[in-house]
Amino acid sequence: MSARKAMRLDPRTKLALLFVWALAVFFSPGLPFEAGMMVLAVVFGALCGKARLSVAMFAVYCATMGIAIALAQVNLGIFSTLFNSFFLLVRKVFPCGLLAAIIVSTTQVNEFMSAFSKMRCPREVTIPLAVMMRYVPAIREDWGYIKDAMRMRGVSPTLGGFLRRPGLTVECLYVPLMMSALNVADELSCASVARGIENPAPRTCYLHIEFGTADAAAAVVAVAVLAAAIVLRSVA
Amino acid sequence: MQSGVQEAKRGLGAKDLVTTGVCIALYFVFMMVGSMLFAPNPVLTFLMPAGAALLTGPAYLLLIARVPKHGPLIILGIVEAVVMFVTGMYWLWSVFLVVLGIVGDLIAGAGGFRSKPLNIASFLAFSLNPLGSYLMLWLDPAGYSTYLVEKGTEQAYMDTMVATGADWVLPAMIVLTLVCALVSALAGMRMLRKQFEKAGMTA
Amino acid sequence: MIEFSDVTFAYAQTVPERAAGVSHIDLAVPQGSCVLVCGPSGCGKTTLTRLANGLAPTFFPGALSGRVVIDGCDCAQMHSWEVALSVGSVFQNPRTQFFNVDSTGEVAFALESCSTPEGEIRERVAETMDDLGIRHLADRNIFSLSGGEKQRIAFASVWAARPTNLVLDEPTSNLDMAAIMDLRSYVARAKASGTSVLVAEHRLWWLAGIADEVVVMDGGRIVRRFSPQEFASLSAQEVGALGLRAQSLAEVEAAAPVCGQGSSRAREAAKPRPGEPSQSEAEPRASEGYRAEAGLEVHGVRAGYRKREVLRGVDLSASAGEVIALVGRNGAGKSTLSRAICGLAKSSGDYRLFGEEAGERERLARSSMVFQDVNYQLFADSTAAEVVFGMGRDRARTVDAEGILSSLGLSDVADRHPATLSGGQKQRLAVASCVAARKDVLAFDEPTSGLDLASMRRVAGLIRRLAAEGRVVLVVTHDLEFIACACDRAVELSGGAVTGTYDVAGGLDDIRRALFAGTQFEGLGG
Repeated sequence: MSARKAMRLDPRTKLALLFVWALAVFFSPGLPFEAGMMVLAVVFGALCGKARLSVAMFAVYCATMGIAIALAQVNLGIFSTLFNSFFLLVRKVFPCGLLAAIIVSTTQVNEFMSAFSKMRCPREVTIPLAVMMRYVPAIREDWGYIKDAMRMRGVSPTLGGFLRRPGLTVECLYVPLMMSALNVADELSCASVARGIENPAPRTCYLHIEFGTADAAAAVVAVAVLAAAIVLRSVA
Repeated sequence: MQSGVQEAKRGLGAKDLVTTGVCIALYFVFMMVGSMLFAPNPVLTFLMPAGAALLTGPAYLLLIARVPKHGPLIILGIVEAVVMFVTGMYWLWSVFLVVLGIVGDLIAGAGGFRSKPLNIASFLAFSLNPLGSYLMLWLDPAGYSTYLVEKGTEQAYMDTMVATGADWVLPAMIVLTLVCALVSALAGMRMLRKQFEKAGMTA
Repeated sequence: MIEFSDVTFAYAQTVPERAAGVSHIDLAVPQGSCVLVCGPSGCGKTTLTRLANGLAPTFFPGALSGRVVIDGCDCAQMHSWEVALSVGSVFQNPRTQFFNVDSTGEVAFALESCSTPEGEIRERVAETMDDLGIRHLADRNIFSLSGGEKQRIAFASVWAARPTNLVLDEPTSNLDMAAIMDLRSYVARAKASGTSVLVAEHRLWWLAGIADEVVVMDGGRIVRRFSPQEFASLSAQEVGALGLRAQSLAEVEAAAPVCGQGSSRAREAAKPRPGEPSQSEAEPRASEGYRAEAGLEVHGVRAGYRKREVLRGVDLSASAGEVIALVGRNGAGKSTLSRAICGLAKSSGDYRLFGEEAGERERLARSSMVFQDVNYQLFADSTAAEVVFGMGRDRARTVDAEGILSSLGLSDVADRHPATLSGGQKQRLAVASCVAARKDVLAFDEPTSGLDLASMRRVAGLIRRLAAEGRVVLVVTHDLEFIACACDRAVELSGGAVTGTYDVAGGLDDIRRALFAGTQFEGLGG
């Protein structure tokens, strides 16, 4: 952990914060309001022990918005349309993106899982979600082997190689990856059944999650921001 | 034992759910690879849905081939939506993922998940999901306008720009995404037939 | 307590598994005892474990007759999770039994499934990890753990629920010696606390002194039963004649020359199956003729992995025709060295292939690896196409694919999809593609993990033949029996440097010591 006394929130609170934040961005009356939301997110990041990450992302945000404002002054024809649209996308995504980055970097996968199971999320969603979280890093491992195997066969696992022999490269990319995925699915389901995953009793989680004062404070601030967004928008 | 067999037929068993999770992981990785190139680039950003569609076809069709039942495609939509939402993507993308997951499930389900044209159609529909995050440009032209007005741009210029954007960028994006999705789906179908069916690995 | 009474099971047609069914099994694993089930591949021992943990017939459908009784309850009347409460299962591949990305969450998995209150889970998880001495593995990312560490966590996750029965299906196939010795102590501990333990295994030596009964299966039936005393009194030849691996690594030495020289006894023990290359054609060791020609010379090789120096100046030389075993603990640099030699990993140092200097590109063109999991290197849609996969059309035409396939016993599966082949056939197919591409240096990674005696000898014969045709063969392995059978020299790596080179003839004691280096049980190999 990067800070000694970092604020720890219930993962359910974190999900709720993201939800409220997304709504607030949607109702936001304009760029200054969103910049204010960014500042709040930076403060939140500092409290969670992610000050460096938050400040760095805030700096990128300021730079991007600076460029956007500068570019909006000149007429580049079709490119202006492209740039302005792109910067609007960036602008709308950033406040949530910063909050999400802080949350993702301070929450372990199993905390999210425990939050979903405590929120009575059905098994049909939690099991695939858990498997996906677990399997995505495995794909990277698999890809390491497959890349080696391709190179030994004289097939280049690069963009250039793809352009030279597209059909072959695509087959090399997908076939072992998907074969291996199916094998893993079989063995993993076998192992999880043998360890009682089909038990209809509600799953518990070894992690302790609890709604505390910090959660309440964060929730109050977020809801206040959302209310302000709605009020200011209707005023404008 | 008999009850076990019946249960497996009715709903999704543990094996189906694990297989679904693994295929979702593949879908997610290919989508990331396909979109990484385009999303953070101002000129190419509108190609992102097409890039994602181009790579994800085989994973999507593998999921249908492996678990030919109602449910997995909806789960794909929901799980991707959760991931997108938690990583701070625009919320309409998540909404699109869930809705198109249901649509995809219905389309493929109409052919019992065995009809090739309907499975492909299902993927084409689902591949439009990243458009959700771009839709704010068209959904909220007011917000778009205020943003530019604050910077002191001429109202008239801005109007034409919104107009040009709304006129052809959205349809062009949809068409391009569908074309890429079709290419990907056809390649995926070929791969399934040539490799996975021959290996007896489809359900 | 696990009891089988007259159990017969046949897999349903829809199960795409090659695993064989079992017939008329009568077996009991009483409380506090350990039964070891062994026998050649396809003898039905895996099916036996699946019946004991309830996976057959609920997960693997099929027809069951007779009764499997767990702690007095008929397995057929129980739901999968009810069986899971009283039977803990550990499987062969540590990579594919994990459900979480963090080790502690994994250990808690079974407890979470049965709705244990969170405070109690935390207590039990901490207690289990202390108990097994794996506190240092708590709160780690699964992907940063070695195979052996993963298997320790897999055991812990089962043991945390304190099941009254344990079922282990080839748990050591992918492990190094240190991990095997730990697993041994875990099983001993479970047994001592009154747990019934059923182990299906090819490797027998690690259970010496723990197994209370040794059951040999063949063709789905139990063919022999031994008390531990009876089993220990069998000679190495008798054990070999049963198709089993050595029951004690001390005996491997005695058996080695027999196997290596392809004597009549070894030939009988390893009767080749029709259509597969026979080990009785085992080629002479390199020392008998090929040593003169320089093959691979490596000098001062350094390589890193994510900023960490993995190889710190490795020197190695091997003649054409020689088979070199690379031994050492996990993380000693064995895989990095083989990848560097094959031109796959960035490295610095001098490399010479057959007398000529060879850069990364030449090495990549002339050498190849055969992975432990060969599935990663099979791409084509048929066995025949796989042989020439990746070659240009002109080059492919110059390859005698049929000849190569028939020399490797793969002719009759030429039209099949590689994914439908057996593990051994896939491995030979990967070799076929190397032969077709005229690779002179071959590096095998754990080619004998999870193999029975006959298959291990077949691989040994194959590797000797590849070397005899003038290639240099490197083998990363922990398998002493295989080293004794197939290799000329063993090179010990430790901390990224060569710490010893031993001739197999006469130096097997040193090699055994090297394999056990770093375990607390260095004496136990005997």
